[in-house]
Amino acid sequence: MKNQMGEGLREKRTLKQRLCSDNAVGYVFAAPFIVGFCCLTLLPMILSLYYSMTNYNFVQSSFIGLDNYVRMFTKDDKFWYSVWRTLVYVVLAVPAKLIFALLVAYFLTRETRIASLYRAIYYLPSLVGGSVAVALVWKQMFARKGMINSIIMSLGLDRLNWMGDKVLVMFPLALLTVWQFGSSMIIFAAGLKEIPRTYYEAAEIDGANAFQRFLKITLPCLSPVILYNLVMQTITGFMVFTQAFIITQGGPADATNFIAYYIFKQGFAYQDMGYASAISWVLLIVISIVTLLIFKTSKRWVFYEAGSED
Amino acid sequence: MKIRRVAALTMAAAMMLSVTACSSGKQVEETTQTTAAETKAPESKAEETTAAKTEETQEAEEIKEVVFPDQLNNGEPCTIRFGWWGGQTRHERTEEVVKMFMEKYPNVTVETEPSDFNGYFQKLPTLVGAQDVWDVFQLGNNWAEYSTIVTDLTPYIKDNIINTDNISDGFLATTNDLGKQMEISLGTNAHCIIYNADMLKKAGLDEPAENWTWKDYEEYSEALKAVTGEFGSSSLEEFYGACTVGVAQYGEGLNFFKADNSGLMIEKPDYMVPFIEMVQRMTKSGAYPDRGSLNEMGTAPEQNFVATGEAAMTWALSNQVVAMAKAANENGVGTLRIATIPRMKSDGPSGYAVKSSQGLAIYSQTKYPEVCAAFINYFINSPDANKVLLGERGVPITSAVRASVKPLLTDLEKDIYAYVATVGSWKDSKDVFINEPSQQNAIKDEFKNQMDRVNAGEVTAQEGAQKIFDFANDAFTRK
Repeated sequence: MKNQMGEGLREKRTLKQRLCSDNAVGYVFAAPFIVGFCCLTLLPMILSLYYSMTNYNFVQSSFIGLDNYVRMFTKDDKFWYSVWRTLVYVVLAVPAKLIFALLVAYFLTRETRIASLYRAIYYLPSLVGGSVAVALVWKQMFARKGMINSIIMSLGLDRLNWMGDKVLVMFPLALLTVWQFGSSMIIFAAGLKEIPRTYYEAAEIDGANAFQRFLKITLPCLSPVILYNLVMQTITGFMVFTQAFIITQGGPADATNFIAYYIFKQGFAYQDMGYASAISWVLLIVISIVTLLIFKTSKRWVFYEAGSED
Repeated sequence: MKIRRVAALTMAAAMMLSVTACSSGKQVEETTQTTAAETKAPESKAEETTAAKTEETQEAEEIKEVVFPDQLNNGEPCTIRFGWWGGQTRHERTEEVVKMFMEKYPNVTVETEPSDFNGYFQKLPTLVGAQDVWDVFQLGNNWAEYSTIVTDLTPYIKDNIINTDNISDGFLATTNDLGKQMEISLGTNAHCIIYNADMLKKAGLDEPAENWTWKDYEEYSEALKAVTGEFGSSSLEEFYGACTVGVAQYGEGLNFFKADNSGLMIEKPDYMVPFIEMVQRMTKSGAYPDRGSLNEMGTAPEQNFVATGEAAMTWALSNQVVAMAKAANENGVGTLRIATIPRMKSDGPSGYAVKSSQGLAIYSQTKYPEVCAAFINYFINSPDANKVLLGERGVPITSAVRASVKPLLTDLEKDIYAYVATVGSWKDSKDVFINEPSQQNAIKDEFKNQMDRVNAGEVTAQEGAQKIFDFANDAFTRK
């Protein structure tokens, strides 16, 4: 009903009226994003979809249909191994990061000035953590004669070959990710504040201890926020790149040859941009599937107050 | 709920695409490693190289004076961009020469873009894709990949804008391919072993002979490890050691890659096995760095364990010796010297040859090809410029520059010149192909991967070699 009226009115509007309408103003304000999105995201996406069906190598390209995909699925063991190693990394790093972020956020919810100062301080690693500089520091810390090994040796133990062992190498890399827990922490902190104090008071009167309150009130009330953080961090986790590029160069024995790094290698080191584009699209599908799985399972563990679900 | 899901997927898509986009920018600027810079520099005409070398060894060469034009581009202002790769020493010297050039021709502005090796070859393809390559840029002998974007320099040589009077035809030919003068070589170099003479003395070892073998090398490493407590050997360029140089050491004209880049010349993986097994043995005994340490060590000459005093010997390129020795001196670890690459058999072939380390090429779409040509001319011929450059990119190819630089050389630099001349005089050099197919980068990475596995005890040397062999053969079936 309202819509029809709107359409009827539109014909009579002058240009000026149209420009002044709320929608037009909205578009103008959104224009920087829309232009940026089209030029820097949408167009490259379309191009990469096209390139994924060519053998583009920066100089020339010819259309080869689905050959890149066939090669990926039938011949390229390295690709599947890199998918597997990325999964291992995500499973290791993402839950650890979320647990850590939640714990820190939980202890910093008290309404004191010092708590907000601490929040700011704990957020710092997230600002610098993704940088190459920190990755280099990490590399030094876990080096043969680095800080971590010095500590281990001062405890009378043998030093560990962090970067030379397939199993061990995951820990420094995951730790660097966990260390950047800031943004998840802020979101958790905001979510924690939303939980009404009355729940806790009622529980306290009923005799629930702190752990029980956390388990029975905090976690369920926070579950939508946990879901959000889990999805976002999983997506980010799949795109891990800096660590592999700076600290390990994919080694040892391809253990940290994460998909994003493998894409980079194919595209820029082997100049096989077509194949790199194809892998990017498969990575998109892999991430989509994992995200979908998380959403599917979320019905079982995410609790929405006031029945906001669907 | 639904909206959220769609939002998440869109986000995923957007982020992912930006992975590729980000990587180009980020890496190019922020990589801190320099790989053996000149590894990308082969040439297909070994015979001509040898010819050039013989000429170089003759001391009394005819030197013609090079006259530089008074002004360029009719005195009108113009700007050219110049990109190169290298380490800190090279950046400083090159910037200095660019400054001298701009002082001589005030109307010309040269914008410089120095990079490290990895960053350079990550940036170059994107610039090619964007049709925005530097006007003058450094290239190894991997021009096959870039042959469509470089200007043929022959006309500029004919017009004498690039003066080649003091360059032998043999040297010019090393960068002439597919009917084009792709670039002008900035210097020549060769593989070598760099060793810490003080450590060898301490271990009571003789200076290595010209035809020493890998068996000697292994014994030296073990002995050095026992005496100094450090690694006997730092990184051997394992891919070259086992494949390109290693296979050529079997003799009878055998090489790893075919001369026309169409595939592998070897028919079985066994050729790689002895070298891989040697590395395996030395890693086990601690005479050679384990995989973690190798990863930890940067690839710039200054970061090599020999430069930091943590190892006694390493594989390097002759134009990296100066930087490494300088760092070793600053770290106070001893005197570095240069030796030949060990052979398989003491009376067998060396497996390597002198090559053009890198050259300067002109982009095919530059607005000022003549200014670019004049810049190259200045770079290779100006005595003043080369007194600053001092053959840092390799032994200079013009006789005039070699002569003018000679009095300024340190003893070590003189040794390097002599070393390159020695390698050039070997007869077996002509059997060595130094072409590098575009598949090499991928094969090299797979080689490293299998070396990691062999040293972790997951596969045997024979199995690893087989995997590398299969991977390489497969790489050549594509495209």
